[in-house]
Amino acid sequence: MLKIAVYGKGGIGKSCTTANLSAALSEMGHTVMQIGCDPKSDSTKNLMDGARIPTVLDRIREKGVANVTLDDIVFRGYNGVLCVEAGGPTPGIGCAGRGIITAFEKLETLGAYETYRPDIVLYDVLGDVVCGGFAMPIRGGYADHVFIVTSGEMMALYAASNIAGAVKSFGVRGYAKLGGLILNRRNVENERALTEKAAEEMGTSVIAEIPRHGDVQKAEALGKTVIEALPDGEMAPRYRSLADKILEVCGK
Amino acid sequence: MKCIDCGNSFESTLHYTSPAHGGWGVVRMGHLLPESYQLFVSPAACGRHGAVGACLQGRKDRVSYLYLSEEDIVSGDYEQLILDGAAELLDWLSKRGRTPKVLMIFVSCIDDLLGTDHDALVWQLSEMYPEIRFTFCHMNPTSLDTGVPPPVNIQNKMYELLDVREKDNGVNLIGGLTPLVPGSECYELLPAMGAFPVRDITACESFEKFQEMAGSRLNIVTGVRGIYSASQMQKKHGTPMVRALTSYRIEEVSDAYRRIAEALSSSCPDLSPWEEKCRSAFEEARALIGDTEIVLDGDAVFAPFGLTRALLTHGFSCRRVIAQQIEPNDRENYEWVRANLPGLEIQQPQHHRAVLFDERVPGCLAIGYNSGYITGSRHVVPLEVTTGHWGYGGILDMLRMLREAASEETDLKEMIARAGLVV
Repeated sequence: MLKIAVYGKGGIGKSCTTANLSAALSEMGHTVMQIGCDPKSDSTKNLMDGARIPTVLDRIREKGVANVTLDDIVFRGYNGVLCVEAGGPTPGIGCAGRGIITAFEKLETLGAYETYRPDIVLYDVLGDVVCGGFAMPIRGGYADHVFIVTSGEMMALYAASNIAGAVKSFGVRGYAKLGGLILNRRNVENERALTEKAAEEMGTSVIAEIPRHGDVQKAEALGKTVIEALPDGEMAPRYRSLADKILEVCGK
Repeated sequence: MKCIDCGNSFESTLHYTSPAHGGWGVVRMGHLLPESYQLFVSPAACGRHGAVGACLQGRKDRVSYLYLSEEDIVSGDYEQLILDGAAELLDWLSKRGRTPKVLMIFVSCIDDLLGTDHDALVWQLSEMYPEIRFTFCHMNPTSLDTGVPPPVNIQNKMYELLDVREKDNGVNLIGGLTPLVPGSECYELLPAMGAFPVRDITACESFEKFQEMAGSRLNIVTGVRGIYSASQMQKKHGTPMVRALTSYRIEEVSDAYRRIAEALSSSCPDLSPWEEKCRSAFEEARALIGDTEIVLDGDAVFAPFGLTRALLTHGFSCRRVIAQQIEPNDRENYEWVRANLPGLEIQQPQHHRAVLFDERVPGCLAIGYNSGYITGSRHVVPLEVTTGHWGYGGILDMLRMLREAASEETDLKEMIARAGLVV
């Protein structure tokens, strides 16, 4: 089982990239599980025809922590991708990091990985490694590789640098390795060169580039990934080659 | 007070906790692990309760506290603090020739919000002190309603330290916290089934002796809180388990022995002499106690309706069960009692109305401290879920306790203090 965490600045296109990646990997014949680790809980929306699925924390609130089953929290989306949303507390109240921990513990207690036996698990994680809860996906036993989605904008690169720093500082414990940056273009000036320079400073590289393209918005408007909605368009091959590249970086 | 027929007996309301409510805390349970030492990492206020309990129970030489401040929590140095604290403690113990075999690090609910990586800390500490085993335990009452509450988790944490080894003919008793009462028939019946030695954590004087439990070929779960540990041991060690929870019903005890014999692929010895002995003891106790009404509580036994069923079967007069809820393994007994004694009273000890003390039964025979406190009885049976009762020996000893309590008046305050209850 290959486990991958996708991090990056808020609004940079992590969920869009991860969902397209899941769809592309599933079309290659892999059993894929995508776990949204953001209280917004919209990571898997485009794999579920635009519908939001109940989150692990929603179900715990409804049924009590001891009564939640896998059927309550794992949903099959496009091409059989297994979709899970960790969820979060009421906005402005509670601790989102603790929510992630609770959701991960629940999945483990219920034996989610043993039951569904996914070939690939993708953790789509909120913006930054802001606390212990959001470091959970890169701990030993969870993701083996971390990829960071970024544009060439300064704030996105700054966040990427923070994430890379956290991954590196945890390296001594055998946590996940940094696999590289995924450049999700915003068409800022000199974007590729800026991102490559930043990657070099982080001790990594840009493994793929996703151009800014209207197909992504068109597919999102339909509540779908590009892979599903516009499989023959210009963007679908880009996500498919991203999937190939990620498998290559992960040694698969 | 709710009648069993009302159908809405178990309400969730504001809670009342009587001074007689409680049992063993995690400090006491953790100390069952031989040659272990405990380090609690928590705010001072969270540690105080356990610390006072440890002093009262004479255990303060096996537990230390690392108190946290606001700064420790927000600085991001929490994990380093634990490493430094453990190192300082182990250095201090080493200088006094008291290096433990196991350091159990207890963290509080603060830790849950910090997302500490305990596995990584255990790895780091094990690198620093290869001769010592480390384990993280939780002091977290908010997990009480989960599948692995603290009393279950602490047992599992202890048994997790067993290393896989070759199997022998031994069997383990899992889930009990005190040695079985003297003269238990299990030390005769189990060897007769080819199961020897009969191992029990309460009898292990050293960590090495405790490790021998990994060699046993069967886990007999005598206490409900040991079920999770035994199921985990089944996965790790491949040791099968038989659920044979403490029961005061003769036929249930006999059934447990037959299932154990089957699991051991052995014939079951003749149980009839023990069954007869128990029947006679029930008759003797019934003759002494007569029609005195009995009130019993769920702090005294894990299956209060099971004990009620046993007493009713042998002609005792049961008036009330004091229980906060019906435990799943007691559900069938509850249904039986409901069918056979519709008038039985059920009282929730934590219901806010309990504080009114308007349902006294001073003339009753109260089984359990809470039962004694709430009814105001002068005759209280000091039975606890931790009393070493199991098998026919458990039935015989329970009846002895009933006879003694019926014959003598109780100093409940002194009895509760002696029990060292921790809520």
